[in-house]
Amino acid sequence: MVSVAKTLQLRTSPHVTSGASVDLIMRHVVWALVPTALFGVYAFGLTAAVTLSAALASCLLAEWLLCKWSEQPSTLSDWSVAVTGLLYGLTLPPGLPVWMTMLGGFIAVGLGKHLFGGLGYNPFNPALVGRAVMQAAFPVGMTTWHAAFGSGRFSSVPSSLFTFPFAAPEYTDALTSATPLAAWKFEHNLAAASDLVMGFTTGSTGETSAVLILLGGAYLAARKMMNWRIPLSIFVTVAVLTFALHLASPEAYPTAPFMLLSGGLMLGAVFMATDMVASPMTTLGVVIYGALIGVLTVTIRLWGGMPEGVMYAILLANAVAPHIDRLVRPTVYGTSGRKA
Amino acid sequence: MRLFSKKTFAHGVHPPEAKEATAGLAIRRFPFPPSLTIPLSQHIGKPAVPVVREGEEVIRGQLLAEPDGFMSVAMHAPASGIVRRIGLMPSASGKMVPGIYLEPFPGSSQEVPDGAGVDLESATADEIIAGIQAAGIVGLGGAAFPTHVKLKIPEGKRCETLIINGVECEPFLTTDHRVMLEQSDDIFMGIRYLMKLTQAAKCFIGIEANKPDAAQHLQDKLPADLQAEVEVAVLPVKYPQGAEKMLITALTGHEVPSGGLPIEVGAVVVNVATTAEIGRLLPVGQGIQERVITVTGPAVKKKGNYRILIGTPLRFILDEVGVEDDIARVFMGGPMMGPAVSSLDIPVVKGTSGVTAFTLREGGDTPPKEYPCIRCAYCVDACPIFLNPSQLGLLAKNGEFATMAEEHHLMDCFECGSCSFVCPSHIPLVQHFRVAKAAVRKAKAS
Amino acid sequence: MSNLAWIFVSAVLVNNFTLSYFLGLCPFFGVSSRLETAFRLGLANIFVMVITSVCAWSLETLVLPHAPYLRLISFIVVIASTVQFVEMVIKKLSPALFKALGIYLPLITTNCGILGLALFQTSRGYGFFEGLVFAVGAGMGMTLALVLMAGLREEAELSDVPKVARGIALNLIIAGMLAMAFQGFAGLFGSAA
Repeated sequence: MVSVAKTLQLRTSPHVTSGASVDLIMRHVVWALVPTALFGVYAFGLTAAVTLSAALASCLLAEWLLCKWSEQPSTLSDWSVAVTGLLYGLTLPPGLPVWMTMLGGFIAVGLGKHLFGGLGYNPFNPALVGRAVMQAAFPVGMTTWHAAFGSGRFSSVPSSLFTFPFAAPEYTDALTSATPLAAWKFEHNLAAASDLVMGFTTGSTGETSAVLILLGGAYLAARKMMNWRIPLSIFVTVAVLTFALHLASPEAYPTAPFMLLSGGLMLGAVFMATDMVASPMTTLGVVIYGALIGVLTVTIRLWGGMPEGVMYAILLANAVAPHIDRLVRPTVYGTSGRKA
Repeated sequence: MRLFSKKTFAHGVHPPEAKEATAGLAIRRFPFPPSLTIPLSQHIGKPAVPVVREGEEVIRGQLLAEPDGFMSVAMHAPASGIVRRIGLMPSASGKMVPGIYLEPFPGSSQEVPDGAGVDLESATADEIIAGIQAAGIVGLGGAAFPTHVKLKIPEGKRCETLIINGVECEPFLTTDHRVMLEQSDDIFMGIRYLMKLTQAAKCFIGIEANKPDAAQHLQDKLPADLQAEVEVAVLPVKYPQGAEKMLITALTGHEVPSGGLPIEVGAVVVNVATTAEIGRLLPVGQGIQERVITVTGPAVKKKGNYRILIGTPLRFILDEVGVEDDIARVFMGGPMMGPAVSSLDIPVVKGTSGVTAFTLREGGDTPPKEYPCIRCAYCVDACPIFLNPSQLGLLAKNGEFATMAEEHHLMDCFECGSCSFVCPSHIPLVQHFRVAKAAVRKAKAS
Repeated sequence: MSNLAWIFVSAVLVNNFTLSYFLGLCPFFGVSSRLETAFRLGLANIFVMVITSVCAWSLETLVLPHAPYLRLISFIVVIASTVQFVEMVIKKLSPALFKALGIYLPLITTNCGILGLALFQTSRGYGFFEGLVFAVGAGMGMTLALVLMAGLREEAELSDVPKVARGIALNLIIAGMLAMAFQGFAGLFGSAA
């Protein structure tokens, strides 16, 4: 009689899994962002490459250091900080001094993520926390935009990039230009929709090419790694509101396509509002969440003092998300009280 | 035959079915082991009380232990042999439980004498119920709930729908599939008893769409006297379609109230193998001695569906079918809900529907790395009871068991495993819930 | 945008008493750990603010022109009495809430936000209705901040917060992030701080 003489493993049921894994999801988000990042480098040249690298490096370094200091195993392998680093870098103006970029990266990962316990516990999107702090601390640097497709972009970088740490940057006007949103808001200049879609306008490194952002999002949605209802809800809300307003007063308000394609709406709606940790968990909940972001974005863009509202809209919606989850709970099976 | 292609319950998951290896294999008789270990409690309720003594010789089918009250069933000798010992034996839970060690006679014909049958035409409902209890029949689908208790309709309630559960949504298992193909006469006989007992207006035989041959066979063999009330219902393949509540919702549209029983929505659900045993044993007054199980999994060499004696030890089974060298885990049942066994000296009991064995290739040396919950809500979308496993998991981690039960319906969870199956952070959610439920029950008891 | 509507929106969102002016932080951190108490305290706040507004306006219009040096002290006295009044009302109407808030009730409702309301109202020369709208808006703004904070804190309670950050440290930072988020409302409808 051949005895089964091995030691059996004891694990708890279920003993099969679907194959989904956190690091897999995060890695695919990074792949989905790569085309947008590459286009940003193509549009803005070396400057963008340096800024993106600095952002990514500072976030990775921050997480590595924090794990080391708290004597925990390094969490770099789950790739979530790579997503944060890339997204954070994509929201920055290309010519931002490197020291500012790195400071923001440390704040994004340290304050926005690890202070709350790391992956899975951040109430706000960490990249946006970083950007919001940067916006508050360095308003000039964060609103100085460089023209896209400048002739010398692959051979030289603006001097502001390598400003000495903690010194204020100096910008040459020849290189700077206004984003489409700022141009509309302050100069009533409406950019062409085709330019906005393809990305031939200026802005932060990642917000320009709507096509690539949408493609990346579609890829993630197809793999069920992103809740497509969030960007859809945001787009529909923004479109409907803007359309109605534009209809009422065409001179005062821009068109819906302009609103959808300009600024950080595409990047924010597809990649940042969809942060799983900071967004609600139910279908109805995310639709409400998306609608809230849409309303806030339109309100801030059209009537607020800031030209760009997506970042604040998403942060505010992140703060409201726990309440959405509390109020929108699906009826547990067998508790609806309906008689047989 | 109706194809309920659209009608199903909400949510659920799709684990790989993995039934191809054994779905086409006819039931074969498994050899008698040299020793049977028969626990006195193979059901929910009070253990049976032995009526034999150590050293006594028994005939196959003879009563070994009688029911202790209403919430208990009888235990019969699976083989002719000698009662070696009545004492403690290992069980699947890890605890030692009382049971009977029976050593079958190697040379015996192992014939089962008939007893006083329960005649379908003349027996009253109470007599049928007594007969089912005396036959030792419990839910063979795995719950092992005493069937006669389930079939005693409480005062003031009516059974509208009788549902025969042939869904078998658990991956790897093909027991019910083969029973439906090979014991259709027994099944229909069982249905006759059940219809008479419950006075149901309608009977559905629920089958998943991955068993079209069984559905067709039952449809073809449906006797004339049952044509009017019995309907073969083919349901979409989804886990956990075979769960009682989900099956009732899919077939009738009603939801069983939280904390309540199916009879509250006028439904009674009986597993198809249990039905077959009722149909087989009641007319001849015999007690249950054996059942069909699927022995399968990548670690098993001779996979198949076997008619096996109650009390056959796992070690004997695996030795007989042969296992691979890198066998790593053995489950009583399938991989979704079957517990991993800690000892091979435990036996097949009435509720065992299969034995599945995995190798190291299916799951590696250590469990997958556990990440914190990222609130992706895959689990929320999977839970058939519409719970929030993510929130429950976070609360469990913080020890908030009472909150889980009072505010988040923890006790409605029936541990189907859909949430753990989809979790990308590989959090053992179901295990957290088991611990939490045990803590809540303990707190309530004290 | 009409003046009253603008005053309201400004008080709730743009110049939120808690998140823009950083007034009334003591009660803000004191009761925002549980959503129920946070919400109910916010309502108590609104109540106190409305009464204070009326009293401050009455004082400013009827009494203080004769003795402007009494402004600060008379406001303080009025607010303290109003708080006592609110305490008695809550004790009578909701003993459970009274017990839950404990020492915070008098501490909380005498927060600098109430005094701030009275002073802003007078320095900006708000009339009776403007003052009322301002009070309701300010109170609602504080309630909004409390409720949002409570939601975030309850979530943080289930999180794996590092020991060094637990407690008031994390709460201050969460409040700071919330305040940053509210910065998005700056300049809304043409208002300047």
